Amino acid sequence: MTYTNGLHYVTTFRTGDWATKLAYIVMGAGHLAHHQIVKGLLYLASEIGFFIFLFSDGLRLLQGMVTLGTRHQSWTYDKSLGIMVRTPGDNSMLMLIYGIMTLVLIVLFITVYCMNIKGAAKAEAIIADGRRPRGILAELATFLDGRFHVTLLTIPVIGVVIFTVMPLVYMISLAFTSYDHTHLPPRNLFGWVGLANFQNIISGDISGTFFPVLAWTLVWALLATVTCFFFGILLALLINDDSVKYKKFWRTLFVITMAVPPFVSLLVMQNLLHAAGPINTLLQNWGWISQPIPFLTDPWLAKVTVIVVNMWIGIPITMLISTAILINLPMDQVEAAQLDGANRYHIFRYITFPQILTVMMPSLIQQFIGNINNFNVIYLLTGGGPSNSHFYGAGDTDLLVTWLYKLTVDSADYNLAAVIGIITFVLSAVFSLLVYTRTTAYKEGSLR
Amino acid sequence: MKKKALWPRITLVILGIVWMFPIFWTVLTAFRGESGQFVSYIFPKHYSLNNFRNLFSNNPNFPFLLWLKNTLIVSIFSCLLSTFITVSMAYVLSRLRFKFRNTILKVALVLNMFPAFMAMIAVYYILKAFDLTQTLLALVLVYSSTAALTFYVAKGFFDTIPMSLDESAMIDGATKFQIFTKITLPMSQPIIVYTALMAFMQPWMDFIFAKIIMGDNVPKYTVSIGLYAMLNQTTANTLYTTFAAGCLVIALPITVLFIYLQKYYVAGITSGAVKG
Amino acid sequence: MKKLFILIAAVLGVTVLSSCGTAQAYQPDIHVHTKDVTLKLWVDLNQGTYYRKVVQDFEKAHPDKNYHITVLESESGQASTNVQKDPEAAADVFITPNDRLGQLVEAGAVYQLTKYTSGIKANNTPTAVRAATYKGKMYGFPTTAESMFLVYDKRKFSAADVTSFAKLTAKGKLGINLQEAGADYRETPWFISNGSYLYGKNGEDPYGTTFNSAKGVQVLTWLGKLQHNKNVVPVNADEISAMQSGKINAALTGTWNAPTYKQMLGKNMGVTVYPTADFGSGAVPMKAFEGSNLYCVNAFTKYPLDAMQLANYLTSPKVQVGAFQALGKIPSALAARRDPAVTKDPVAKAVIAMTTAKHSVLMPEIPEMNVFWQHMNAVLVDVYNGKIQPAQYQATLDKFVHDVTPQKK
Repeated sequence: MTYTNGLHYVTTFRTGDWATKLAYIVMGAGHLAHHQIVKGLLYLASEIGFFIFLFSDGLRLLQGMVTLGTRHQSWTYDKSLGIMVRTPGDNSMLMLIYGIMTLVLIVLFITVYCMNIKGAAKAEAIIADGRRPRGILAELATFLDGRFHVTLLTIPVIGVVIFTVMPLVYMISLAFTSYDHTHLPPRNLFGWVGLANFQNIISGDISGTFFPVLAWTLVWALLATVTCFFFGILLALLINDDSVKYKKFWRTLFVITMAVPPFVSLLVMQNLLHAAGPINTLLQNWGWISQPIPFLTDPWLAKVTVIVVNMWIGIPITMLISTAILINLPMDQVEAAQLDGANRYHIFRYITFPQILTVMMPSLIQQFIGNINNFNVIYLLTGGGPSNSHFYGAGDTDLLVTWLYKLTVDSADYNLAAVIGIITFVLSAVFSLLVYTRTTAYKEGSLR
Repeated sequence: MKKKALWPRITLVILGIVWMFPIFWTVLTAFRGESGQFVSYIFPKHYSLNNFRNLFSNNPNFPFLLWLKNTLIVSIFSCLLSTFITVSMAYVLSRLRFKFRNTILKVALVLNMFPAFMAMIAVYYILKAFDLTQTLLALVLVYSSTAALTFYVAKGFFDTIPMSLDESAMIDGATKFQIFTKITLPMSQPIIVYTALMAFMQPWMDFIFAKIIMGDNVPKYTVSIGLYAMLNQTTANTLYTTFAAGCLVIALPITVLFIYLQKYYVAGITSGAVKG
Repeated sequence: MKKLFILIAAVLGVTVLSSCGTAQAYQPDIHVHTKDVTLKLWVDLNQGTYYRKVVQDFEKAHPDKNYHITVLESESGQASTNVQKDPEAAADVFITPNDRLGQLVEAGAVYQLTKYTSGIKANNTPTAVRAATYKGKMYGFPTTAESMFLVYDKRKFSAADVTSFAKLTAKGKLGINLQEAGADYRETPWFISNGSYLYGKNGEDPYGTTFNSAKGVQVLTWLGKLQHNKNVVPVNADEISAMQSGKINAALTGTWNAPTYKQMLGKNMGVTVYPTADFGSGAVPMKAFEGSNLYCVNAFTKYPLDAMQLANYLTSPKVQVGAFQALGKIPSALAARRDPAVTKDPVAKAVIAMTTAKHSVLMPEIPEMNVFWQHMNAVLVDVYNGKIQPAQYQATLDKFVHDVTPQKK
């Protein structure tokens, strides 16, 4: 029996025996009555535990998430001590986080509850067939075979739920609250404000900053990905050229840069490119320039600089991948083309490049999305600067993520940052889903 | 015989210099005798090992050796756990067929896009609920949990192993667990090494998340928090050369490891691609 | 019958959550008059060694108590963020620059002081007392009173040269941060020098910014012209190396750079107050922001009485003199500022002269400053770089004042 909709649970209740019916109220009853003692007890324990939690704390935590706090902390003067004494109040932020944790737990419990009913019905059906349901040991054995995927997925899924999904829900919730620099906990409470923050971003004061930053984020992601890809291939071709000896040495040389932690190389780059850094000093000493080149302080040049520095970091990776592809490329096509008198450009343009592109498409998409969220390069190199007097808290090279970071760390405007986070998130999610479904469709069509 | 062109070699030499210069400069800075963040020359006026001595001097505010040890512990454990998680996810989603497979694939793809910075404070309080803040275990857990969403490269690798292998083993009566451990894993050395290498490097590079979790517990810092902290306004000028020395100390082992494992890295990252 | 593991996870989750979500008690949670006291103290970077000794003295001075005091280094500029992140885990006593006080108070993260207030008022400079006060109430124990000052090469300038900006820049090159983050901190006080207000006369009125007055435009015009002055050089982190290589001969700098300059210039190092400048309404002294580092008591401390006692001890004149000798921090306590160890130091002398109403102005403490900084720096840098034309100065400042003033509710 499948349980694709809720109706089946009604049918099961109607047709089930007394034990299955009892399992709707007392979890595990179905298992206990049908010779699955251990599982039955576990279900029972989870129900008891859940309800103890629900009535001791759960309901209060849920309610807290709805109200986000009603009691302010207060100070009263204690004459005998000569100091103020603080009476704690509600903390909206913690109420929100713990409320979300409770919510996740309730979803988890509902899943367990449904499993309990399905299990009870199944056990009943097996008994009715005249067989005996699997004992706990046989049950455990299925986790190494038929349900091996459950075994392998459990730990990763728990990790993702705790460290990615719950924080994500928290962030999304913040976008609908008034949590900004005038409502800082623990002294102040913040509340739900609906869509006001979205309105502010799209039509209010902030829009003058939002759209330019969004545009630059997209331009940056596109250019950063394309330049690394294109020049990476060129570098691989260069190293693979017949005239170059010691190919392995050259490859290793470029690969070394990948092993240096990015925060180190970026901070060093920032120093190198600074107006007083060695590059400017050297050029000035040689008399090539009279004024330092404002690599990081001129709005346009800074944009070029971050893209170029990103190439320094990204090219070796593409180079490595495309080298491996080049070596494995079937040579017969190339040889045939050479016989037909095609020059190197043509071979590259019509044979090599399309093949590399096909193979690297998935990694390119990942890089594009990675670049939309590329915090390190911008934050460590320019810090989003140079600052721009037309923007609200953003500089000329700020991406949505770095702007978001500044809004939380510098201005404590968590609600606005959350809105930007959601928009960034939706943007990259839609894009990647679109491309993902298209490439897999393409892959499955051509390869399988 | 065609005459070999000279320009590819010249271009390569120039590019090589461009790529090596920042690293070369960091090395020079690490051995520079004169302190200061900015100097108007490339080669130090005199060389010294003082920066390294300073680094390892066991200053209580600045326990670099301890940080090194912490980072090593975190990276070893998170490497083990992350590799297990990534390989499990990739294997399951590549080889096994079950009801929610496609949903999980798409959800994982979308969750990966989420800018993690926003939620750092939530992660902090979740860890606090488990009483784990300011512990190395917390770092291991956080780094490993992100590994669950970075399985795409490994999945590409498993996709290339022919299904017929599994099928014949199944006919012989092997369980899925046995297939996984006896057949698939032994064939997957490159991808395991690749995954482990990436996971091992992460704790050496993250300086924001780790700082939020560790707070003021200096003896539990990782090297990247410590090094990044050196470069604030009041200490940048005096500690810059020490910072460079620290960078060198952490970059060296990773570089050696990287060069040594390069072929696995290439095999791993291109596996799905080349064979498919 | 599915997914045993989810079942176990659910059981585990329930137990964990019920342990963390214990009912919120709306009751004060403090210990007074206990013998065993555990405190955590955050001092600024590089100050741990000195303050560990001070804390040992403090423990010795109170043999009746069992103090367990941990001293940790934590960047003072980040203290506000770190305390707000998790006040329960933060230090009981921490050091913070006074400009963060408003946000800390608004967030309810610091103790309002009722004890020790008369002592603080009597023993510190008036500005330091104001720095520790927010909206009429006192929240911190001042430990420094500092501002930037002028450092110059005596071989290049005479004492008379450095009294006015015009004379100074006629004779040699002056380095100022004009192009990067931090330009705002240097240049904003000059608007106040020329008679504009930043958040009102006392810096606590969110609607009181008057930078868009005619006098404000004068200052912006003056700043815009600096880009054509070859003797005014934009520097920042490279200030010291610029001085070493002779690219600049004087700089507006802070105490954190003083030891390096001493080492580099030796007896040729001149330090004095900022010069005067004529922004367009006659010569006035160029002001700097005066700031004070405060030791604050965490609102969540379990031992408020002991924490306050410790903070009071840390800011006593004796400890401040020691901090000057060990760390170069200019004291805020009047008695410490008169101490011969302090007065004979030229840098301290210059800073003490700077931290008077004539040469400096207290940095406002209201939370709106966070918004202010971002906008101010952008305007100043754009003007210096010529991205904003003189004809737009008035409009730029009008928009700026609008942006940094909160909407009336």
